[in-house]
Parts: sequence; structure tokens; C-alpha cells
Amino acid sequence: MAVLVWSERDGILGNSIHSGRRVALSAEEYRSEAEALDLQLDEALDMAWHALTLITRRENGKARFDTLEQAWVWGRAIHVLGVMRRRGMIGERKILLWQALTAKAWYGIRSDSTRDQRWRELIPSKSRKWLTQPTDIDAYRFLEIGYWVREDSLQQVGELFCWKFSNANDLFDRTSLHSVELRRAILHWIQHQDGKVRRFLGTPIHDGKRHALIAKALYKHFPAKGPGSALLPQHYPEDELRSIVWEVLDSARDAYFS
Amino acid sequence: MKFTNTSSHMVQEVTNIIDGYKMGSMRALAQEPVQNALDAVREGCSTVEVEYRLLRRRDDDGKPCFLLTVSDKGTTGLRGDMVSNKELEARNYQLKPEENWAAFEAQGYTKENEDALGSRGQGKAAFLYHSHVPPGETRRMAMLYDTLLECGEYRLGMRYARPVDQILSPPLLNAEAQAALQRDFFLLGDLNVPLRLKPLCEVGTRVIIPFVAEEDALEFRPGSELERWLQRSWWRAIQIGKLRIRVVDEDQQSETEIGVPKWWRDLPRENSPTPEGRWHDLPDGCRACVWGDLAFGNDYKFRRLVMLHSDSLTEDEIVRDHPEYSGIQVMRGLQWIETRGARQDFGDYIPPDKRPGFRGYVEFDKRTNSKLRAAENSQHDGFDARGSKGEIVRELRAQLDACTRKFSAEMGWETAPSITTQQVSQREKATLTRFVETFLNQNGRKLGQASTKGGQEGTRLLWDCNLDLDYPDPKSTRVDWGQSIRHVNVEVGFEPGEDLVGSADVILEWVDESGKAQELCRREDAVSKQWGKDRVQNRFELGDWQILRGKARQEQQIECSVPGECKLRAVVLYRAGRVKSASRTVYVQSEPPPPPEKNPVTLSISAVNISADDKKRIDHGEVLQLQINTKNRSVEDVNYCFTASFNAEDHAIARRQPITLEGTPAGELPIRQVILSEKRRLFDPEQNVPLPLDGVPTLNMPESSGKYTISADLHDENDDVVAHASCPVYFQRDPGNARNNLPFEIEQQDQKAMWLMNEDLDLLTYSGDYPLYKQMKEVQSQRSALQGRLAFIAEISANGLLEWALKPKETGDDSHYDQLYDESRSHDLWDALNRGLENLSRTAESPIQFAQTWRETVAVMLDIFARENN
Repeated sequence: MAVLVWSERDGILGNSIHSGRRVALSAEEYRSEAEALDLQLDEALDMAWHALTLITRRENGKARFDTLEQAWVWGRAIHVLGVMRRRGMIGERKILLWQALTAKAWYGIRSDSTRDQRWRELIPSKSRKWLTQPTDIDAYRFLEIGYWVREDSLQQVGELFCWKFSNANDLFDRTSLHSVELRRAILHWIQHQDGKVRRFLGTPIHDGKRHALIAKALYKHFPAKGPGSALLPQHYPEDELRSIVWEVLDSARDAYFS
Repeated sequence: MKFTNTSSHMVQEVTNIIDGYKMGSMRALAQEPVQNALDAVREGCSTVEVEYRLLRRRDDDGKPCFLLTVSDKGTTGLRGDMVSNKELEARNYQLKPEENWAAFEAQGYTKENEDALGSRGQGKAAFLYHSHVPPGETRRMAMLYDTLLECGEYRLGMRYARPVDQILSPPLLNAEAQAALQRDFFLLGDLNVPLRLKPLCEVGTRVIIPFVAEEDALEFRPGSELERWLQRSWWRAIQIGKLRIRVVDEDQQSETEIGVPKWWRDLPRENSPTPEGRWHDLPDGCRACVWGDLAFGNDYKFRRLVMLHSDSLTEDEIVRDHPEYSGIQVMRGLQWIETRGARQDFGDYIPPDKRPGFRGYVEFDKRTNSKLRAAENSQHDGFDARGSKGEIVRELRAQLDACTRKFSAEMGWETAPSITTQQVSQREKATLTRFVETFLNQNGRKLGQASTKGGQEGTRLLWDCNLDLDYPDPKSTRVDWGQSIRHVNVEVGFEPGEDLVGSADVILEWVDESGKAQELCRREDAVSKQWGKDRVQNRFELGDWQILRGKARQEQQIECSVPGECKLRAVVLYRAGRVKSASRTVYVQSEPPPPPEKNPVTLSISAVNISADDKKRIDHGEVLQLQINTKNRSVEDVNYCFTASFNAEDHAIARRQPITLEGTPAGELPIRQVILSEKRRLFDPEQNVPLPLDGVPTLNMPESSGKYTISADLHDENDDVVAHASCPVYFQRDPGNARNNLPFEIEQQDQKAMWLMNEDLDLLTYSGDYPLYKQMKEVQSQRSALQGRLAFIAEISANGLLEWALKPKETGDDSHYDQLYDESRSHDLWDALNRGLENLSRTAESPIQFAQTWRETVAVMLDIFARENN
């Protein structure tokens, strides 16, 4: 029910236990669980880093990190290792895990206090904000998105978002469009578009992104709040959802190309 | 020489007095002697001079020891007769203003034309505290004081706390005194005090503190702590030439004169500052603003308020807990009393990186000074803001707050991210909580007072009461004289069926146009528990009832001679309380108002944690009771499709399910129709699921913690949404802003409007600068629910609650409204509230009528709040 968050001050390592649960005196009472979880996070970070080194393209011997790939390896590793099902995470909000993971990756601290600076490559933003362990969930957007697409393969995620993290961000912004069923239906539609449309969707324009028309059109049909929000994509049978998505996206595409 | 004992344990007294100085003994020593000197300024002298002189001597064992002398010039000296204790007692402990010698020697007196502030021995204690008479098991203190008076008389007095208080009586006079001072040693009781001092040459007083501790002596030297305290306390008097202070170390042959802090030296002298404030740009990017003659509170006045900021200034504080320079120094007279701290008090307006360079001071006109003195503590290092005397202090602080905010805005600090909202007091928050708890009916089925709790998991007795009847015209509530209300049926239900203790009665009553109730019939012991049943439901057929203008001569007749809006009401009486009631409106011989045109059909959702006393958070294994209700205010029955979903579930709860909503006769309050009622036991996907025993359907949530939403839509035949409602569900997390089950929280914010409700309807804000709020008194001791500023909070809580309830109705969502509107509370003022709420739903088309109804409803709410909470 708690996580261990590492920190460093003047070169000296320290850690503290964070928990969203009610505690009697301090969250230290959960230290043993948090330390066990910390050990498992080493495994998750190793797995994510190895996956990242395999998929990252290199140009002139230098790695070209991609935020979508970085996000995906995080989510996949957490999912595969079942980190959320660990005792330390039960009943906790995800932000605590994000704090623990980013602090470990940023400082490169293993549970035995040895250092592994390679993990920093997993963090897309090299901002010094990680020193302050942000409490705003938006700071961990790449982790949220990575965990959101955890059930999809990298190829699916890449095709769905035209290999752009910002496109994933657009869809993630709209909370009614979060379901895996909808992602599958959109992917199905994209896979049936010709090369011209797929190139069009993957091209950013100066005042926005063309891929965003998918999110915008679908959000009109599946608003997150207000009238019409009672039925969400996951509440439709697969065939019906697929036909709605095709209908909505076809008309959005045609409206643009006509 | 003869010493007179007094009855006090002087050492303890001195220690207690000095411990009362929150900034320590050094501030006391910097403050008290100078204050005494300024109080005793001699006529014709424009400047008082005070000198702190550190001297090094050897005691009779040859060991080095230190003496501190504090002498003043330009004062009257310790004049006046010597008054013995006996005489003081005979004079009822009253001294004349000029009797300084007696005042310095005595304890516990008052002076004519003065308050009691000077009589507590603060000055004596400030000196004695630094004397450490060696050696001995008990702490001993000593001091000597000599004075040269205008008449040429020379006196030398002594005080010895061993620990019993002794004073030399009578003191040494003239030549004898001068000779004693010049001797190497002076025998003070059993003590040899090294002196070797020159007698005073000018009129004034000198206090000699022998046996100063070595570590203290270091702090008395020029450039050390004493000098810093002297500057903090007296720089303003020094700046305007009323005071000169020197610190001399005779041993090191160094001396320094206390000056004005550098940041105040640069500020140009301004003789006619304005209340609007005048800005000055000073060297090094320093900016200052000077206000003058600025009125505040009850005709009080700032003579001058100055604020200054420079990035080149660094923090210069001795005691970090209490601000000294960093903030606004409050000067009473020419003396620094306290500082309103840049961090502690103005942290909302001054960003952290600007606080070290922020300085300010404020001084007052004569009348305000004298009022402030009454609120000042005896240590002269703070004000008491409580009670009637503290009113001026509260006003002063509010005004300083306002001016600092202006200064901050002008400096462009308002956009600084560190600037936070102001604080709402605990009392104000408690008032909002009480207000909301008075009115809010969390799930539309709030308990009556007589209800009882069951044993398991906080389950409780939930009552239902419905009153059915047929009007002569099914589409109208109008009943003319001679006509009958037919088939009057009362249905009463409760659950759990085994938890009822004893039995309940059902009564039917008639409420006439003036609100007077008359019992028509009663069924005693009509409802009782039934073993083995979850829910008990009883139905009572009460027949037809005829309305008569004249006298009712038979049973089943109702006498009603005045036309108008009346009511037939069924009430459930349980353990001497009305736990539930239901009423139907009857317009006797008059036409009822038409139904509303806008949003005639509404939906509402209640999602309640029935396992844990209706707390908003739902934890693993707890049961969510979901109920979706609808109201049809139109006269006709309507057919719609109903869709509902819980976004934690893969399947919709209801999908395009056709429903028929019965119409409401014109003039009748719409009856809530339950279209869906379900329970779900929510489980954390990562925790073990216990074997379900009670048949409640289980739901594995998608994640361990999160905010989910239940949504419902009503569609017409064109698939247009005619009503929508949604309700949040907090699974294993606390609701964001609105904790403690409050629908919204309260905060102070810089805004023009009296109150504002945010878009998400979870934050009510008001302005601390709102004229009405400012004029109302802060409540120190609460005697009634509507008192001072708390009345203001109640007023905006009522308004906020109405907006919170009515705004979702724009999309046909009654979820909030149903928590405020409670037909079971259908007597006196509650009835007026229900009627007001229903009128607000009806009159939305006419803004003026809407505003009038709103005001009336707020007034009713305040009446109810006062009655229920006083």
C-alpha cells in the first residue's frame, strides 16, 4: 500500500515512503512493502530499458529516442510484470507509482543503492522538474499514455497514432475515448485507408495536427460529459462500434478532402 | 546602611517577566531603558541621549568581571519623593506622574493618568536579568542606580535580589552617594560590587548592572546583538532627531552611534504624503510607496505607511521565528512594537524570492496611537487582536493587508505562481459545513431524527411514503366545492424489514390555504417489522374525500371555506417523530399555475455508498446503491427511451429502454418516479474477492483507484436528448476539492463579485474585500449561527447551494436538486423552501420573477438555518 521514492541531495541518496492510504503515524509503517515493490521496479526499469535499446533507431551511432516508444516501453513493462497487482500498489493512485519510477529512473538508483544512469534514457523530458517529484498528474503524461496503451503492441500503437506521441496525447485528452475497444476500431479504420489518407493523417500542419480530426470527430459522437454521454464506446457491441467509427471517420475524412 | 525586604521572590519574578519577551532578553534591554528615558524627557530638551557602556573591572578575588551602565541625558532624572512601602500602601498604590524614583523602586503600583502598563517592573527586570552575582547555589541579581536631579540633588539606590527582593532604604544622597560610586568596591549587603565610576555631571539617570555574564558582555559590544536590537526598536525616533543612542565598550575603546537602516536613509523626506500613495524610484532598482493620512476602521488613521522593495537587500533578522525588518514594522509612538511579516502575514502577496528585500513601516496619529496602546501587551512586543480592545488591531491588519496587495500588484508580483488564495477561517468553514448539512439530503432519502441505525455495516432504516389519489379532472389539481378526491391510498415502506423497533402510525391530514393542518384520520400501529423480509411495504386505502365549503357533517368530508392552494398530506409517525411524509396539492375552487415550458422532464441520479454511512468514497467490497429517478412536470404522459451507463462497466446499465412517464396534474408538485434502482458491490481488481453472500451483484473495477461516472440520457422519438444526468463515483480515492462529503468547498479569492461558484460546481469563492464582508465583525466567540461574518458566509452558502442545485437543471439534471429538495420535510418553513425551489424551476423564463423567488428562497433558508442551529 505504499511506494518508496528516492531522492538525492548534495550527492547523498535518501528515500521516503509515500502512501495515499490513511496512516497511523507515518507512511514508514509500510516500508517493508514499499521496499519489496522497489525491488520489482528495478526489474521493470531493466525490462523497459532493454526493450528501448532494441527498438530505438540509431543514426550515425547515436540513439534517436522517440517519446511514443519511450512511453510504450514503460507501459508494457509495468503491464507484463504486473506491477499494479503488487501488494504495495493495491488501493493506491497511479501517481505514486509514477513518482517512484521517475525518481528511480532520473537518479538511476537501484534498490540496493547502486547507480544505473542508463535508466534516464527512459524519460522523454530532461527537465529538472523530476528533482521536485511533481504532484501534478500531467507531469507524468508519458507514463499515463504508456500505461493506457499497455495492451497494444508497438506496431498497433505506431500505426494508430502515426508514430507520433502528440497524436496519442490528443486522443488521451478526451476521456470518453479511452477504451481499448475504440482504439481497435480506429486502427481497423486506419488500416483500411489508402496511403494518401495515412500520409495525410501523419503530417503535422502549422496550426494543429491532421490526426486530431479523428479525436475531434469521435468526441462529438462520444462526448465525455453532458447530453449524449450516457453511452461510451465500450458499451457498444464490437460490430456496432466498428460501424459507428467507420461512419464518423469516413464523413470527417470526406469533409476534409471534398 | 539598611536594606528593606519586600515579600517577593524577585529572581523568579524577573525571570518570568523576561521569559514573556518572545524575542528574548536582549530586546527587553534595548527597549525598556530607552522607553523610560523617552517617557521622562525634560522640558526644553528636544533630544534624549542614551548611552550603553560596557566596563571591565575585577572582583574582590581579582577575577575580571563586567559592568554595564545605561545612562540617559535630556531627561528629568529619577525625581520625586522617596515613598516607603508603608506609605505606598496607605496611598492605595497610587503614585503621582512625577514620582519617578518611587516608581523605579516600587513594584505593583499605578500612576495617575496612566494605564497599568508601566507598573509591572518590566524596566527593572530588563536590567536585573543580566546581572549574575557570583558565586552561590541560588541565582542572585543586583543593580544600582544613580541620578542627578535638576535641583542638584544626587541619589544612589540599590536593588539586590537574593532571591528575596531588597532595596537600599533610604538611598545614599549627594556627597555620600558620589563617594560611594568612586570607591573601588561598594558593599551591597554581603556583596562587594566593583564600581570606580565617575558621578553623573548632567541631569539624568544611570543604571549600573554589575556582574554581567561574559557571553552577554560580548553581545553588548558595538556591532553586536544589542546594537542591532537598538536599531530595530528605535531607528525611527533616531531618524527624526528625538533620540541618540551610543554603545561604548570602554575596555576595547570602541564606540558606535546607532543609525538609521540604510534602506530608510535613501528614502526622500516627504512632508505631505497622500492617502492614494506616492511612488519613489530609488537607487539599485529599489522602489518605495508612501501613503499618508490614510483612514482605516473606525476613524483611525495611518500618519504614514511606507513600503519598499529592493532586490539588493538581504534578510537581516536576529530571531527567525518573529519578523523584525522583513515585513511592515508597526510603530506605536516612535517605538517599534511588532512586524507584520513578509512571509508570515503577506506571503500571499509577496513571492518567496522578493520577501528578503521587502521592508515597511507604519505610524499613526495621536488618537490611534493611544487606542493601540490599550491593545499592546506589557512586553511592548505585540498587540492583542482579541476582544473589543483588539478591534483596532484587526482593522489595522486588514488595512495593511489591502495596502500590501496594492503594492504587490503595482510591483507586478500578483502573477507570481507562489501567490495563493487567502485563508478562510475555521469558523467560516464550519458555518458552510453546518449550512450544507442542514439542507442537504444526500440521496433523496435522508433520515428523520427518529430513525435508527441497524447493526450491520452501518445500514439504516429507510422510509418511503407515497400518497396516491384521483382528482376529479386527471389533468388538473383543481377541486371545486362539492367535488371529491377519490381513491386516496397511502403506501408506506421501509427497509431493512427486520430492524424496526416497535411500530409506526400513519395519519392523513388536510393543510388549508393558510398552512394550518387538521388531522383527518389515523391508523395506529399500522406499520411493524416483519421477520425475514428485506423490505416491508403496506398499503392503506383511505377512500374518497369530499371538499365542502360549509360545515362537514359526515365522515370522509373536508371543510374548506377559503379557496386557494391546499394540501392533503400523509405522515408516518415513528417513535414520536415524523419520519416521512408525502403530500398532494389541491387547488380548491381556483385555477392552478401552468406547468413549466423549459425542461418539463428531468433526470436525477443518486449513487450512494450504503455500506459506510453515505461517505462519498467507496472502498473495496463496499456497496454502491444506484438510483435513477425522473420527474415529468407536464400534464400529459410521455414516452421516451432511457439509456444509462457506468463507465467502469463494459456493458450499459440500460440501452434505449422504452419508458412511459406519467404526467403531473397542473399545479401538482411533480412526483419522483424511480426508473432504475440497482446495487453493485465494487471490488479492487488487484485484491481478493470474498465469496458474495448477500446476492448483491459484484463489479470488478478497471483499476485500483479512480473517479468514474454514472451517466443517463432520456431520448425522444427523434433520438434527441431531452434530459441528461451524471454523477461521479469515487472508488478508493477521496473526492478532489469537496472533502468531508461537502458538495463544494469555500475559499477567499480576489474577485469583484460577492460570491462565485466555479464551473465544476465544487468551489464557492468570495471576496475578502467585499464591502459588506469587511464591515461585518469577525466572530471571536460565537453565540448564534448568524453572527458577524458568519452571517455573510451563511448568506453566500445559501446562494451557492441554490446555484449548485439549479445549474445542472439546464440539461435536465435533477441530481443536485433532489438532494436539496426533500418532500418528506413538508412542514412550516421546509414547506416554504420546497415551494421556493419548485418555483425556481418554473420561473426560469422570467428573470425578474426568478430573482425575486431566489431572494425569497435564500431568506427562507437563512431562517431555517438559524432555527435549526441556534
